[in-house]
Amino acid sequence: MKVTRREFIKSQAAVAAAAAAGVTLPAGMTAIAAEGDEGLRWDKAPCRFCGTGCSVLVGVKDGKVVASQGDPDAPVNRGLNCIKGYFLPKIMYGKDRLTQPLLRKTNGKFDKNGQFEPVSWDEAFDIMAEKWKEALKKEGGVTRVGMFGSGQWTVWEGYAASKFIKAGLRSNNLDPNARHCMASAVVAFIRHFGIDEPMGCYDDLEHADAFVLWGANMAEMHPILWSRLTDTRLTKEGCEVHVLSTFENRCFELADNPIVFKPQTDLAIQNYICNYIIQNGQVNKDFVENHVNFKRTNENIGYGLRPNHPLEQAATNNGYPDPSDPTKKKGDPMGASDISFEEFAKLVEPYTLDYVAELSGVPKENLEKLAKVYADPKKKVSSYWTMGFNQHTRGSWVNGNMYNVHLLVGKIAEPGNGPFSLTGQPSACGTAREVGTFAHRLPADLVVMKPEHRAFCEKVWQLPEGTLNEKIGYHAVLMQRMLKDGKMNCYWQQCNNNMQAGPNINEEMWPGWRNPDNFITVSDPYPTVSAQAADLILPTAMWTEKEGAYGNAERRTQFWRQQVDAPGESRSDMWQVMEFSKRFAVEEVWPEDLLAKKPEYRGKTLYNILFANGTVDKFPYEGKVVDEAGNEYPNQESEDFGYYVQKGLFEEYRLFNSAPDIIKKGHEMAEFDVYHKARGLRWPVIDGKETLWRFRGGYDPHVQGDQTVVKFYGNKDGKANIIFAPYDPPAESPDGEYPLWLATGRVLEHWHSGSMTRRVPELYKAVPEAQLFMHKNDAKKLKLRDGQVAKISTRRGEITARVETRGRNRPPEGLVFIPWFDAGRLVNKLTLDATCPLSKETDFKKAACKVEKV
Amino acid sequence: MRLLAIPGVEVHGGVTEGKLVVTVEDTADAPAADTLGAIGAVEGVINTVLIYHYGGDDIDHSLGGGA
Repeated sequence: MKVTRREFIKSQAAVAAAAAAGVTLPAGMTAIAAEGDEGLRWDKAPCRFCGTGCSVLVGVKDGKVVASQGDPDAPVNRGLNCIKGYFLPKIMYGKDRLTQPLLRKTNGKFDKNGQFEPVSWDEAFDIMAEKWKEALKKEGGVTRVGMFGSGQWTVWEGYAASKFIKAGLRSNNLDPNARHCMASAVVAFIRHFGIDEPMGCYDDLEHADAFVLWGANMAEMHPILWSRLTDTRLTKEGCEVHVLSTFENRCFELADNPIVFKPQTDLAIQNYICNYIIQNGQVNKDFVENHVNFKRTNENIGYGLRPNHPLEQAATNNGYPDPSDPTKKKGDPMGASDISFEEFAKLVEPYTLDYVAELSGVPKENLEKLAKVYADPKKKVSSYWTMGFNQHTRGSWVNGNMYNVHLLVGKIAEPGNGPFSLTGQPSACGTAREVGTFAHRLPADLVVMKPEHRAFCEKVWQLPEGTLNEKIGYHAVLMQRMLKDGKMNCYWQQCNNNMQAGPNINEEMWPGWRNPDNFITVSDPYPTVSAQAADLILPTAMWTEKEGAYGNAERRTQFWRQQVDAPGESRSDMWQVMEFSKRFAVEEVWPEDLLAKKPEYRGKTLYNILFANGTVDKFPYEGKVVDEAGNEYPNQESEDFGYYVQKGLFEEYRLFNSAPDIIKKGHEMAEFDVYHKARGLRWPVIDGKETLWRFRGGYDPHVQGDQTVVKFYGNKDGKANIIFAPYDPPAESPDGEYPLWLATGRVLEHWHSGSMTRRVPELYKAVPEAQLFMHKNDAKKLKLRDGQVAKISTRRGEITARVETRGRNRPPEGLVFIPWFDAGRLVNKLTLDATCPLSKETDFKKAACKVEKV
Repeated sequence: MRLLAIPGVEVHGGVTEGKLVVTVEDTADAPAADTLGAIGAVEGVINTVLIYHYGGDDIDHSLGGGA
């Protein structure tokens, strides 16, 4: 049969679609598709975007990714793609890809106020090393430099950066953009369970009888999981969906119980549910007695603002230095005291239906319907949340209150029953959290504050005792304040666009980046807002231009091979960190007494000590990577360094989570090569077997016994904590001058700041600019019509945007919503850098603003 | 029939299952992304899911398929 190329490709597409949909096609169509694919090499890769972790098949021809399809063998997405995933290949081929390092210069020399000029990698690293060494010599030393990484870093990129900053430079100034994304979720996991990440998995989407969405617009942000949820809702009898948000979004189309609540009152709604469960005798007494401790959190904890802010001066438990005695701290926001069940019941008692309905603005019947679904012992309930909970000045509390609800009724850690923190980024779990690229973390849930954790880490990394710094570094928001104040002078940002994504750009970010005392480096594939605000731009290899590994929200670790070469001189973030570490002789950064403990390190560079250490450089590289079918792939870093770098870094990392002497069990992973064959595996992985539900016998290898046995082994006593946390008002609320709530967020078509998706013509065209979503009555009062340009301002800045009252988001009166993907209107000029005092994660959902006609 | 009225759209099967397999090509007037949006707006379409995408230089249009 003779067919044209076009017919052939069309048949390939149709056959793939039919397979995913379970549809039978005419025989002719399948016959054409079976003829072979004319030189396309297909391989799997996890999607570059959200935390769902879909797998796509990547088709490469003549060194270019030309085709992609949803991976039919992937358990997460079963052959489906969302629109961003569908256009994945195009993100690498934007017309303005950066292909060489760029430095601000005047008359051939670095000048902070000069124009960007192309330079060699050598010149780029020379000036960078000069600036970093200069800063390290200043008072405070290691606190003068730092790195801001990403939940989009591959596992080994994060691991290499952590080694370089924490072991090499002995600084803890390493934080990821995941701080803006899920730090609150982490704090709650640690406080309630003593171990990070969800107990359940995506399989709950098919097992649950009821779903509750709390501040998660899954229809747009996790569309593939939403399609699985929709399937269950439409096919399982009696299945119900409850949707809570501060404005109506696309999920409301499927809602059996739609709930729009006043910002911040989610805390009160959760306590009402606990009160309802107790008052109606629906506490799972057996579960609570055997598996739960009760505590009460410290209150009056402030809002993570600068210490001179009136709200912080009034706070008694914000943990800041005490002005009357700076050696002391003002309380501890993390603290909690033991209480009894009866005391807990007393604390939630004021959260009556009447009080909470009034406070939240939610009709009583909706609140009762919601409480009943949790209380009903016959209903299996899965709760999902994302940024609505996490980006919250009480984010750690509101995450924790969700566990309180599920623990009271024992609906946890079993198929269909579970609280589930959805993750925003593809490897916020796998890299930022599991590798521990936060200012206080080390790999596998270890932390810098604990001497035994540092000692273990020093042993694995072959460092002299006392190398690691016990002092917590600067978190994301604090880094910006320290840059502005001139206390941190060198900042290296990789794999994110913080000048667009971070809060309060006008007051807290831009001044620090342009502070003449500071040297800012940004690694990115494209000239983003951040890159343009930097002093040095390093061109980065992205996605399948490097070998990578991501860990998604359900603990699934997924690998991919390098498919194509990066353009020009672009190099991966990992290559950049490792190459930069060659610029530091150990004597320049370690004191003599430390070196004296390990004299064999004298005369070496940080690269020699951290990477060419006998473990990382153990695996030979044969000039290519070969898959099981015999297909060959390049590997840029291994080619350059002369050994299989990714394998070496991963196998060293495994010494933290899978070696016999590890401190914290429960994060076990399989060997490197296993992941290149599997469609991902959910940790803990023991004897090659993944774990679907943690803490329960029959599923989790760390729990002995059958499915009736529960053990929260992250905590020493094997119990989880219910921690009472009250309703507290937000840091800033609407008033006479700024009468509206401003919430920010994302859209389906764009990934985060749009630096990739806005370069895909189809996605750009689908949603070209960020709109001002508002209620038609609010618009009418201001004499604004749809499509008209309005000015939106807060106490910190102003932007303009077109009014939309009939779009996909329908805010109630008194609230407006603006997405943050649009570099043409930076909504983070308006946001406030108030954070959850426990997690230090910014609340991007609540600021007071006003809207005016232009 | 309503789908076939959209330029660049072909239906390949799935009528009995209630899930149509459709390919979409760029046309002079409408890039594939616009057409995808148009399909979602057709009466009776509950959901569209994207499966396969091709955008190689060796073909003068990019095209893809969806169910």
